[in-house]
Amino acid sequence: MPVVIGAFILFLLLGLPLAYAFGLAGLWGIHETGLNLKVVPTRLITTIDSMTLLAAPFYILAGEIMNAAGITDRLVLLSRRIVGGIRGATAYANVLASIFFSGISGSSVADTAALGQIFVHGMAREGYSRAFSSAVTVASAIIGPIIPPSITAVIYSAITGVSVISLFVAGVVPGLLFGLACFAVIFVKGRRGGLPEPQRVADDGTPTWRLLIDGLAVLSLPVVIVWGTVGGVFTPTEAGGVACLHALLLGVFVFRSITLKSFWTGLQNAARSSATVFFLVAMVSLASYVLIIEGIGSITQILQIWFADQPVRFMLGSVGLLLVLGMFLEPTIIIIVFIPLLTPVARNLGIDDVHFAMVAILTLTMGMITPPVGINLFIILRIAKIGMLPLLRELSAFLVAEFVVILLIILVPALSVWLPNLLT
Amino acid sequence: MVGEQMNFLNGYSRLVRGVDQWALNLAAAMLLAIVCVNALSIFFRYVVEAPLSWSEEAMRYGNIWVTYLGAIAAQVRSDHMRLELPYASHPTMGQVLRLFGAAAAIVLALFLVWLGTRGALAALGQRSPSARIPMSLPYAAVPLAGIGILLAAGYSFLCALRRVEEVR
Amino acid sequence: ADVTVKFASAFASPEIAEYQAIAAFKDFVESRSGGEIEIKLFAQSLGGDREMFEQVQQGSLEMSFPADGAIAGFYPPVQVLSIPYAVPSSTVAWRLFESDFMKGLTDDMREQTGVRTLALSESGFRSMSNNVRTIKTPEDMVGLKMRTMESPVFMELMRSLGSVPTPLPATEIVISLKQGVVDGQENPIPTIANSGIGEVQKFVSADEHVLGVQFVITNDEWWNGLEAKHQQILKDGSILLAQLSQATKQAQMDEAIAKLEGMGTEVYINSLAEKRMFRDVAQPGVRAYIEGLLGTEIVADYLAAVDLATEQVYGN
Ligand code: NA
Ligand code: NA
Repeated sequence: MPVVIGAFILFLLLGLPLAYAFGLAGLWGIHETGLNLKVVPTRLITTIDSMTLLAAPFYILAGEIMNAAGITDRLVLLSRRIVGGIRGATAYANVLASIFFSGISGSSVADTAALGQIFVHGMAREGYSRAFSSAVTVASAIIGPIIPPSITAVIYSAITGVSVISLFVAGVVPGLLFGLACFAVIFVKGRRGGLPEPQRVADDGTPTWRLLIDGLAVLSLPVVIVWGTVGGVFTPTEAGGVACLHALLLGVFVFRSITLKSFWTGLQNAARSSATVFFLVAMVSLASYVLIIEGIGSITQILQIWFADQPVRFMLGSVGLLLVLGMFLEPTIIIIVFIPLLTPVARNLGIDDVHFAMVAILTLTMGMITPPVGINLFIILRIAKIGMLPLLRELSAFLVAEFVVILLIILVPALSVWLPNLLT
Repeated sequence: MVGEQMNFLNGYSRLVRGVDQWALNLAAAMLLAIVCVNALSIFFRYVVEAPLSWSEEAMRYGNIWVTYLGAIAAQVRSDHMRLELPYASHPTMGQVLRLFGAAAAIVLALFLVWLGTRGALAALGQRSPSARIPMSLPYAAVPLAGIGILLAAGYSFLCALRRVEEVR
Repeated sequence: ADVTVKFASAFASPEIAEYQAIAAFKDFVESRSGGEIEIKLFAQSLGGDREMFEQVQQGSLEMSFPADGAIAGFYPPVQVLSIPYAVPSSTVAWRLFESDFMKGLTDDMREQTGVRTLALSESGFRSMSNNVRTIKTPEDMVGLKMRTMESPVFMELMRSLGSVPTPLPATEIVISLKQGVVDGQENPIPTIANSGIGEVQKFVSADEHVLGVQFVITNDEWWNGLEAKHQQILKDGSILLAQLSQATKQAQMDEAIAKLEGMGTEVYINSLAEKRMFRDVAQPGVRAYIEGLLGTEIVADYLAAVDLATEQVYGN
């Protein structure tokens, strides 16, 4: 076990991609522990050979098609119109756009990359600091994998067997709460005079009704997914494929901006993004194999004894652990390696599967915007061309607000469990 | 002599870009095929009321191919997530890391080729339970990805060695 | 320990019969060998049955306890066990496991795949559940939308009965039943009672259509390198495991039925005459499919072995 962990850290510090670091550390560990190398191709194929996981490329593709249809700009315009001319308008619009965008995107990285360009530069022109604009952008970008669809939920479901549909539906309320938390931080900052006066912003004069139709068209995507799966028309995986066709139809008939060429580029991009996710999953499975064989599973029994009859304390402990892990590792990796150790304990403590899943997913998602290794931070720093410290100074209030939401969701299970129980 | 080596590198870079294009287009086509099979599967269940018994496996194995074809393009385009290291901008350190990165990718690729080929051969007698697809078919994606990554990483290694920019 | 056995299975919950049997196997082997053999258990952490079989075949794992369905890809002839309504009862199944036919089948599997079978265990017959009506005779199945595994055998079985087979992943069964995507599904009764399926189904009918068999397997090459006394202990332990698992499952059956009735689910036990009606309607289609796959000879041999076992158990 020490060999794998040591080798992995060494490889990371030598600049290898996460996937390669896991793969090589795993191969090294398999050799070192005298295990059979024949197991390598078995792990590489069977871990990604899952019907549940297949939903991920579908949702990535649906997002790509919507992107190719030029949807992002329309969402931004619509959000601005809705917010109007209040103080901090564009900051609120940033959050609102993320909420809309989360309906078509399953990952926070896609959200940061797409909205970051538009908002960071746009807000800077209106007098917001680049650090604050970046902070709003990433803090709201993590709504993407919480409101359905969600790649993180798909992977979580594949690993734990918790229904994807339930996880999708359960994400709606917490996702909106994250949005509210962002609004609250902006509001407080505005009250303290920390935001510039609202200004006239560039507007192409598209009639509001047209924008509303576009907005409704975008929101129809998550609605089709949830309606189709909850209503029992298709499975969550099939819903992903339907979402792609739906996005394509919208692109051709509503937005009328998609071309054969942009569609093909969308397919290529989706294949690339999805391949990097799945390749990472496959490579992590080599390292996790060694950890499992070497007995990492015994942690579960230890936790069971530690947290006997203490569900809330266990949830808080899990959140702490996941927060720390999330500072250094990607959600996918943590779900594969650590979540299987925690879920049996949660089940034995009588915690609802969906409740625990939501708390875990929210915490892991926050890890995407915590230093030192939050991937979204790097993306936004590159876009905004600012340093990490100024960004963190602005981001900290958002992190605290979102953490409060997580605590709330731990203490009030209904926030995550009520909607799926109602609908399903 | 130097000119010949540059010529060789130019030719090599064209090869790598060609491999990248092929892998990416095949992956895109495969993804499109999966979306179509998915639509077909829903259609047959609801409209024809005669569900297909092979669609799920076909989509799953198709996705395995998307993954490993995409992994070739990911190597060529540096798509994979990695840490941003402050010391990577130091000239000597940067050179060392660049060489190490390419060499590590070569090692990993060699393992993929070697072990993947063994896996595909071992699966020769095995068929998938529903569609009766030979299991060697999904398994063959691993060694193929290994070859593609090897080619691309070999080019990166030579460029790093000669301290020239990679042409992408 | 002189010998370390990595034993992986799909059973992680202590209430499950298989889990208890595997734990008993570990205790038995470790104490009988005086600590010379160490059993390391891996529950639900090294992949599904298919992946675990492959790892035993490679020698990456020493032992596992997969279901027949997952073995079919490696060794197609095990699919004869899936001919519906062939085996009339658990007692006949246990007798069948001792037969020359099963010995021949597992010997052949060892030669073809390098995986040795140490013992066979009955994992329960699969039965129907649905939300529309009590299933007494084959006519009651007509028009029902039934969730099945994406397996030609089960889809053909449903088609033969006039139902519409709907392949869905196992994780989505409960929710699909709740939402009415499908009217029903089929699984062993204890599974229906303990997995949440029972809570969303009104009618369960013990038609016992397909026998489930689990194989205690090991890597043959590794096995042949063991000392005879260790082989003996492991073999004894495997038989203990298999018998304990199937006996506990039987004992839990009443509990499962009581639990289902407690949920307000009706449990109907189909009579022998009704099962015969089911057999006449549903067997030919699946049988033809399996004969097309494996040839007529092995199917005939299997059915003859079942007849013999039936006769041995019940007389004429
Ligand atoms: Na989303
Ligand atoms: Na945003």
